[in-house]
Amino acid sequence: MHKSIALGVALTLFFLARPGLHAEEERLPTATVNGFSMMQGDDELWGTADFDSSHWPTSSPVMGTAFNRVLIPDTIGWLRTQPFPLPASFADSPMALYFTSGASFEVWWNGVFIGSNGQPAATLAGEIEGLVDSRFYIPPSLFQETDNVLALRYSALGYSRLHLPLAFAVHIGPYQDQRYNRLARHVPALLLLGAVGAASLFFGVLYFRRRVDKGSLWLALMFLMVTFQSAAEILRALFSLSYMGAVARILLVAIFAYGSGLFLNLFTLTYLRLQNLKRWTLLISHALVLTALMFSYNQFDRLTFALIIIFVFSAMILTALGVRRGRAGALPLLLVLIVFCCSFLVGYSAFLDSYYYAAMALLAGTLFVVQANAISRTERRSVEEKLKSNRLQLELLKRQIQPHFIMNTLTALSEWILTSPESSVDMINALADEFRILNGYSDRKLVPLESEIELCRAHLTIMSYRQNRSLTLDTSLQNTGLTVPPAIFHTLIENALTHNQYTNDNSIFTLTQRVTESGDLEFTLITPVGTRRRGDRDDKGGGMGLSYVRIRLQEVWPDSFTLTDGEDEQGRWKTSIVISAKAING
Amino acid sequence: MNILVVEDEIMAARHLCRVIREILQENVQSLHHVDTLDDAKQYLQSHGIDLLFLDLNLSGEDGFELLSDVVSSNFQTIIVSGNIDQALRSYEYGVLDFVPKPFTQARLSQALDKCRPSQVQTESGRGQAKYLGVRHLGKTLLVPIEDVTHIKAADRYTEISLADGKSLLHEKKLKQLLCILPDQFQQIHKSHIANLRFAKDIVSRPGSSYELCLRDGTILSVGRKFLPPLRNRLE
Repeated sequence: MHKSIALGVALTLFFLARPGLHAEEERLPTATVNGFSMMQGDDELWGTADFDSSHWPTSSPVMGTAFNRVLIPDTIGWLRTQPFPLPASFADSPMALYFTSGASFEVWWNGVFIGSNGQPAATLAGEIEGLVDSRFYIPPSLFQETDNVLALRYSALGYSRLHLPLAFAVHIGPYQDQRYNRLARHVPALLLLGAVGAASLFFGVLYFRRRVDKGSLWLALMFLMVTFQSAAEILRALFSLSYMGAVARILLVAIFAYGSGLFLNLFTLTYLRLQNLKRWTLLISHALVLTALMFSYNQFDRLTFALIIIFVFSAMILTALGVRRGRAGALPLLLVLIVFCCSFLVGYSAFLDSYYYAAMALLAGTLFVVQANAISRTERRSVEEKLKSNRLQLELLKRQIQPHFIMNTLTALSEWILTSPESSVDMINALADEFRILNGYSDRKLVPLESEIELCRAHLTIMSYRQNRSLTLDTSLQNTGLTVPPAIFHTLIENALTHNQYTNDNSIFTLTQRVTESGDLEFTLITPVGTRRRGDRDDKGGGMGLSYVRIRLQEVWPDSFTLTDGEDEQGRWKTSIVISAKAING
Repeated sequence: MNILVVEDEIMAARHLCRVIREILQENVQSLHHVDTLDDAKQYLQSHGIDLLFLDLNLSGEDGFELLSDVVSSNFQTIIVSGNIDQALRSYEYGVLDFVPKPFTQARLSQALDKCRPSQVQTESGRGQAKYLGVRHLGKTLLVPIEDVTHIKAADRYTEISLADGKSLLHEKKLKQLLCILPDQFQQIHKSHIANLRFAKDIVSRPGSSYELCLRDGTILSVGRKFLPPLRNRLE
């Protein structure tokens, strides 16, 4: 139910995001200026309207963007367009040129200087760096329907030190507040930032409060990275940056994209319980990251796009594996990742500018829901485990106060009081011993072996008085100071007494402990030969008691012990417990 | 009185035998103790008894399987057990009493009173049985009390008539059955017990004799001294 609601909301957001974003832009008449002729050097003539630069080399457009790659001059350089027309409607309102570039430059419109961004110079010392985003008013008197020429006198001596390609994106459009415009474009990023930031805090607190579920940690980190990435995107709208700041910003976006992708994969591995694939996932994805770096090391936008593709695809493959293995919540996650991947098709510029936020909102929403479900599942499991451990304690308690045991003991005691007061005192003492020891066990997972043996002996003393026959326990212990789960041998002896009748005057139980050659710890309890009681012919003997022992062992040494029982060659009942060396030492 | 004690705990058995002797004194004709039910069966093959003391939690096995066997016999059974939570079910199976361990002489005396002939005076059932264990074709059937319409004395046995028209023989005598059957069973004749849930009306016959008609058409004679309490119950 929650999943489908979240999915619905996210999908709606996804489809609304893009059209909403572009309606505003399409209402305004804009034109992109492409194709510059480039020349290194400085000549006043090159700024005039009539100069013919058709023999100059031309800039190359950057695919999928409004950018034109231009040469980086050692000193001053010039860029000129060929004469181009503009729609008549442009004359109706004040128009401006919008630039995005790392260079410092002067702008000449139809042969007239209309302003500069920083100060271009032939030397680094003379150059004043401009802002990456700049705007120049075009006086209406200079506006022509045909044969407009834009010339730029530029230098990029500071920028060239970064060893990055230089490009210009130039738009012509109505004169308006650039920042407001860009901020409007970043509304989806702003929304995502708030929501994902809160989610990051939520899962972070959840993880650091209990430190059990790694999934919450990965998700918190992933959401944090997405928050930072969105924040870095928004910086451009809030502040006018120099090329240094702009490059740093784009680099940060790429780094955060890497972080969010990495944590998305770590989360997916944890959530789908595919940790065994962790090494391979990281290896392959990082090989791809390195490849992407090699091809796009100087184009951070493209690198960001490549990083997102790599990690989202990798997460998608893992999720598909999760679906195949029937992991809970894998299917909705897979569907959302597929939708995410589809949005790559719009190209990297459109993707990074707008689709990314919608796709990420969808993914984040889904991740939030699946992880919340996982947490509630974990919570339920932990409650169940707690219940199980309480049940065990109760079981132990029941062992202490089993009415059958107490009532029979008291009945025998009545007879002893009448016939031999001294014996009845001994019996009362043994009973007190048994209760005292069992009482001390109540909430412990392990107890000293010596105490367990004392308990068994107290029990046998009581039973001896009840049966008026001697029942004793011999021990042969290789190590001292060992601990065992509470009342396990007591339970086995009690079982033997319940299911056998000992008619010999002296019946001896034997408990042996040794360390095997492979380092395993072995306990063997041999019960004396007795008459098997009626109703026990096929029963292995006390299913309940044996399962208590098994649960107790499992609690302390999960899956690292063996419990076997059966008759030995002399017809005695033999129970052996072997705990693997690894479990003992670990 | 001939008594058999089945108890696997020697000291508990000794104590029980001691207290029984103290209560019944010279009324004890024989008092025998065995450890297991197998031994008990063997003993019963050659000895008739009046009363069986049974530790229900015998050897950890489910005592109810053998209890239904035991209650179909011609002697009464008293359970002596440390498992008080089995008391109610024991009564439903038709035991005479359930004495929890450890017991006092007074409590045991109360249980023994229930089966002393002098104490059996009323005509209504005084037990809590929900089933009658009946031995039939070598097996023990547990017949729901609700299905029993009436019971007739038949030689050393009793004949139990069921609502579906069938009848079964039980080893207990009428007086013994009255001790374990619930209140809705009423003795109406020296050799008849009727389940009043099936009673329709009392009809008087010439010669001032009376008969009880059951809903299934069965007609049972009513003894003169049993008539007033029967009338009371039916009003």
